[in-house]
Amino acid sequence: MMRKKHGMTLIELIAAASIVVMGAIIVIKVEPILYTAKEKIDQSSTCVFLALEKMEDIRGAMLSDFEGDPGTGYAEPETAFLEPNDAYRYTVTDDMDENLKTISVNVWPSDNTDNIFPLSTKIAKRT
Amino acid sequence: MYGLCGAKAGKGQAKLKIRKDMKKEKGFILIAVIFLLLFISILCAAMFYHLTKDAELIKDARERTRALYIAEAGVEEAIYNLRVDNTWTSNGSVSVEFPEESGNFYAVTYPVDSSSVQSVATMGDGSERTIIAEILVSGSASPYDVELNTWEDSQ
Repeated sequence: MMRKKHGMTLIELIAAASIVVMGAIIVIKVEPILYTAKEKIDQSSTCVFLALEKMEDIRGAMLSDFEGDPGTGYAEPETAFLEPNDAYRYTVTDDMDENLKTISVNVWPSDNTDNIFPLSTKIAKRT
Repeated sequence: MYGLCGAKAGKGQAKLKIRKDMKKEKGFILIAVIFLLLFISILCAAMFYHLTKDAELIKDARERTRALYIAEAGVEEAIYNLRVDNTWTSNGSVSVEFPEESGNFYAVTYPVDSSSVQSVATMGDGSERTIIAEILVSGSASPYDVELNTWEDSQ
């Protein structure tokens, strides 16, 4: 009778181990997907924040000096942000209009050029 | 004799108790593992739900930020027009695609005898964002001095 009981416990252990292994496989498969998704969301959020900050910097500078640098205005080629945001890059384009400029800021993570955030606006000369 | 019988009976009862306890514990590990898996599944589902919500929120924030700056472009265009001509008006009937070929538009309303300009950004997905700004125009000849007095984002 006791032997029979021991046999049942072994089967039970095997079944339990199989379920645990299955569970572990699912967790191992799912974890990178969750991590990638979270990283992408964090990157998107940072891109929005950095683009906003850059655009407001440009607006502030333009209200005191509308023309900007001679020949380039406020345009900037691909540039990395300063630390701690050096994992992100941006470009600024300036259409060089004398009275109503169109400014476009693009921000993206260095390791994921697909996750680009474009922000455009117009800024008019006041005086 | 009776004592021996009593001892045997006691042993038998103890065996029966053990057997009963074992019967009670049958499948205990399996149940524990199933509960553990259930817990992990709930945890995973909660994380998926949380991430999906976060993704929706950030997508919404991206679009709303872009809409804000597109609406601002409308206000800036009004400033530009008023700087050239202080009698300039607009009834909001003209939608300007901005940036070009983006599917996003702004429309500016600046009625006669008003100092408030309203700029409505309409995004490709149909969402809207409106800015109402008060503009002060001064000076005696073009180009006039234009100042943005108050600025309100009506969401």
